[in-house]
Parts: sequence; C-alpha cells; structure tokens
Amino acid sequence: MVEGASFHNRQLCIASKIRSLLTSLTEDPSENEKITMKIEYWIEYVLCEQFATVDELAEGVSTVVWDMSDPYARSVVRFLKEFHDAPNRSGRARSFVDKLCERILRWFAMASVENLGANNYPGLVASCGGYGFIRAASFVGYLIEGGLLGPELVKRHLVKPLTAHHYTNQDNGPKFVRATAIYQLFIAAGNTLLCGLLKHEDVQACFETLNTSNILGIDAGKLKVRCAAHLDASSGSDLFGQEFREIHTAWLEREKEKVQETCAVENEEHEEEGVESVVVAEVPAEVETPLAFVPRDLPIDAIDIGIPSSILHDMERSSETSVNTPAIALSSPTFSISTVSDLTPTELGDESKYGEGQIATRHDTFYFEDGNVEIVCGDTVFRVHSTVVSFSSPKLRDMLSPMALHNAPMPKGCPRVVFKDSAEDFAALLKIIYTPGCVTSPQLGFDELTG
Amino acid sequence: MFASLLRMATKYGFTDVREGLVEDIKGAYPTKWGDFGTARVLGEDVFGSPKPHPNAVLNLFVGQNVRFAIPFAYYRASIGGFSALMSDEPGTVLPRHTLACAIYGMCVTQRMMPTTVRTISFVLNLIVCPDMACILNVNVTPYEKRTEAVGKLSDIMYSGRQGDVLSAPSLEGVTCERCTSSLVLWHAARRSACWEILPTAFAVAKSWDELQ
Repeated sequence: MVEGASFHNRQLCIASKIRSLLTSLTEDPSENEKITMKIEYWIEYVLCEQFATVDELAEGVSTVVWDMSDPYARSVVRFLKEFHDAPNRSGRARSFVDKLCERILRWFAMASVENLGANNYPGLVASCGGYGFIRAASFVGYLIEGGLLGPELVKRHLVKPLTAHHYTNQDNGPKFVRATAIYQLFIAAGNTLLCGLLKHEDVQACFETLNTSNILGIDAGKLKVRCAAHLDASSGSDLFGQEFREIHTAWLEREKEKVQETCAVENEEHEEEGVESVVVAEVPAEVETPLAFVPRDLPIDAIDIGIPSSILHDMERSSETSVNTPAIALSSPTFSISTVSDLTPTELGDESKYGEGQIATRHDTFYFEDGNVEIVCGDTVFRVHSTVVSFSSPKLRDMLSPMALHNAPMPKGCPRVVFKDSAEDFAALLKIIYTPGCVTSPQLGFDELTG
Repeated sequence: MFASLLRMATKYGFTDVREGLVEDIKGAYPTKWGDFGTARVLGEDVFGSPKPHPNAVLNLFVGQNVRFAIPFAYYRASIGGFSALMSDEPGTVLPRHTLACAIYGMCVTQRMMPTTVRTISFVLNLIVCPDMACILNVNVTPYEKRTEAVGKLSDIMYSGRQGDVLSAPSLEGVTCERCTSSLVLWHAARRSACWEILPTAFAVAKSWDELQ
C-alpha cells in the first residue's frame, strides 16, 4: 500500500467526489442513471484497489447526511439499497454500505445527546446546526424502512436519540429541533419502528419529548395516547400512519391559513396603495407522506464497472471529429470558432466601442501608414494591408472583404474592425504573415528542459 | 509565440502554418511507446514560460484539437495529482469536461500502481536466484533480509515517483545483473501496458492507432 500525504489527499478527494455525486442524485430515475454508474464505479474502484479501507471510505462519505435535504436523502437511500442488493456486488462494497449505514445511525445517536438548539452548533451538528440533526433523522428513517439497518442495530442505537432530552437553552428552539427530528423519523419509518422494533416504553418516552403544546402543530398528548393504543392493538401499523397523515394535513392546513392571512394583509395594504392585488400562494392540500420505502426494481443484468458511459459517449463523439478539419469543431478557452458561413459581425468585437474618438494604442511594429484597414485587438490597434493579411486565409478574406467593411467606422480614413483576439496573439500572426521565414522551428527556438 | 500562432492559425485557417507547428511538437508528444524515452519537454519559447504548467499545455492542445498530443498532455498533467489538476492559477484552470477526463484517466493509470506493487512482491518472492551474492538468493539470504530486500525493491520502483508510472526505475546495483535484467524487462512490459491505455483512459480515442 502506498503511503504519504498525497495518497491521503487522493483518498479524501475521492470520498469527496462520491459525496458530491450522492448529493446530486434526484428523484428522476433517468437523470440518476449516469450518476449512479459513476458512484458505483468510484466505490468499487477505491475498495477493489484497496485505495481505502471500508471504514475509511464510510468515514469519508458519511458526513453527507448532515448536508442532505429530504428528497435527496430518499434518493441516496434508494441508491444504497439497490447498490447493496445488486447481484454482482462485491463483498467489500456491501460491507461499505453496511458500515456507512451503521456509522450514520451511531452519529445520529451521538448527536442526540448534544444541545440541538438552532443557535448553538457544537460537535456533530456543527455544520448544519439543529437542521442537520433533523435531516439525519429523516435519513435514518429511510434507512430503517429500506431494511438497510438491522433490527439489532436499531434497538441498540435508536433508543438514545429518541429518549435523550439534553437542553441547555430554556427556549423552545432545542425542543422544536428534537420534535421535528422525531416527527421526520416516524414519517419515514413509522411502520417499521412500530412493528416490534422498539419497545412500548421507548416509544412513549420518545413522545415525552413532544410534550409541548402545539409544537410543530402536533398534539403530543393525542399522539401519545394513540401510540399506546396502537402498540396494544394487533391490527398493524396503518392506524398510526393514518394518524400521522391526519396530523400532518392538519398542520399544513394551518400553515395554509397563515399564508392566506399574510397574503390578505398584504393585499389590503396594496389596495390601499392602489396596487393591483396579487394571487394568493397555493399550498397543496394533499401532501404525499412517505410512510414506506419502495425500492426501484433491481437491475437484472450485471453492471460492468468500466469507464462511465458519459465519458465513453464523449469519447465516441470526439473520435468522430476529423483531425483535418480542426477549425470547424474546436472550441477555445478564449474564443469560439464556427463555420465560415457564420462569419457575421457577431464574430467581430463590439465595433461601436472603438468608434471615432476612442483611444487605442498603435502597435509598435504592425501599424503601417499605407495600410488600408485598422484592426483593434484589446486596446491595441493594427493598421495592415487587407490583401496581404488575408492572402492565405479564406476566413480573414471574408472578414476583411470590401462588403464586410462597407459599414465599418473610419476614424482614420480607413475602415476599423474589432477582433476578439488578444493583441499578443494577433501580433504573432502578423509576424509570420509579414516575415514568413520565422515560422520554421529553428527560429521559434524550442527550449528543451529536462524533467 | 507558439501558442499564439497555433491559436491564430487554427482559428483563421492558416493550414500550412498549423501543420508546421504541429509537426514541431511531435517529438515532444510521442504516440508510440518506443518514442517515449526520447520525449522532450517543451519550454519557454513554445509555451511562454520556462516550465509551462501542464494544465496550460493541455488546455491549448484540447482547445486547438491537437489530438495526437492530447493523451500524453493529459498524462503529464495528471502526474502532479489532484492538487495540480485543480490548479486555479490563470491559464491553468481546466474546463469541467477536461478535468473530469483527467481525474478519471489519472485514477485508471495509477490504479496499475498498487496492482503492480502487489504483483512485484509476489514475483520477487518467487525468484530463486542462483547467484550467491544476490540478496534474492533464497538459500543464502535469511528470510527477514529477503523480505527487507523485496520491500526495498518495491520502494525503488514506486516510491517518490509522484504518479509518474511510465518512467523507468533505476535498479542498478540492488540485485545481481541477472535479476535486475529480468525485473527491468518485466517492469517495462507493465509500463508499456499502461502506455497503451492512455488514449482510452483519458477519453481521447479508442487507441493510439486512431491518433496516428
């Protein structure tokens, strides 16, 4: 194994790449296909080549959860599930997913004993504050519902996050964070959690933390009673899920009313000012609440861990480009090149900027008094002979033809055009045009350097 | 001068000038493994600085579509690792697609390194050199010393080379001539294999033949 700082940096960079790819996953399966292949490739690559141990990779990637918003979390979990269950998956890669999930759960448990106030960001919730904890709760919920966290792990690690209530602030901030997190957790994995994964007392203790009236719009007392009733019953978890849906909908209704009230007040103010009223913002009445994780169909064919398809596609595309016609297909960092037929004034610079009275420095060498066209590059003006300059270039011939120069400004008695090239580049071109011998390599003076 | 001319000649269709310029850099950017050993690094008058940043060279070749030189330019840029590829100095910033190809290619070429490290240890352990003076002589050298020698050889082959997997290591004097010769040949074969995948690894073409 290769050691050293640069090696370590590469590990971090690849972990960072995997992290950023994970966060770029969306709900759209067609968009995700390419990203998924790339993530699979990188994970398998670093593990297969022992570029990082399973633990190191899991450590490097797991912070993704603290920055993740809810829809992305769902996509990431879906990816992890499919990646883990794929038939051709290596044992190390499966182990990576297991470690990653376990690490996230443990981080969540550790963070739960911290002060989760929105204004205090110690320890694990440092990067995102309390909202990181809320997102992590949602993420953990999806992991549980997706079966990526085993019952033993959940029982061992989840009780603490649910029952901890470490608050140093007296205000409602930390309580709000915790209540929201638990709410998100149950929204994502309520079914599984209540089907025997947690003890009755644990769930009750969890809802003790919600015992704040109207926090989140959830009536905690009601929830507690319903929860107890549910656990005593044998009719499955639909009742509780339904309860959550009702509460969520009620809360959304209240939010909608608030928005409408705000808009109404604003409208009144506008009407008083004589401004036309604005449309009231719509809040969807039906909000889909993800109570169960439904993974996509797993791929049947073995996934080839080779070059990502996007790169292959680019390669094929570039190989179609003829080497003999470079000017047609290239793009340059400083200017764009198109076909000759596209040589409209847009190919030139902004002529008006360098019209009559505009100050531009004459080039020391290539400003011939007997020239018949002025070419401005940057703040340098060249005065050259159009026939000489365009003799070997059909493109320049078009650009400097009498027809093209017909409407050009003539500040010094000859037409002036503006090119987008740098003065240095254009001077180099003029040098070989007016002194052709300098183009051969001895005159260029290649300077050989060793190593 | 060179870069300016190449840009201008390409842009305005000075075909002869462009061909002349391209011809002049062929010695520095070989397309055959046999020419790799004599490849030059072009300097000041060509790229405008004593030691041009490889990213700037890569940008120039990609931008001006000097295709035959692009794989090797990618390789030279990748030797410096991630930090060099992600340079943010003016003129050295790689566009998104170029950067993606460079990183991918770097990983593909350098993944041969750990693979080879594992293999070399395996190969060295199999060698039973009859030369009594050679450290690889299993009958003379104690096990610990032999293991130490294997580690030392691996270090010579790969340590401190900063990702330059194509350069030949100096094995003179470490083992006997016979073993050195075998190892050099074996290592050259590995490097040659690495060379062959450069166009594919950096997503330029499917083979060197396509770029001839």
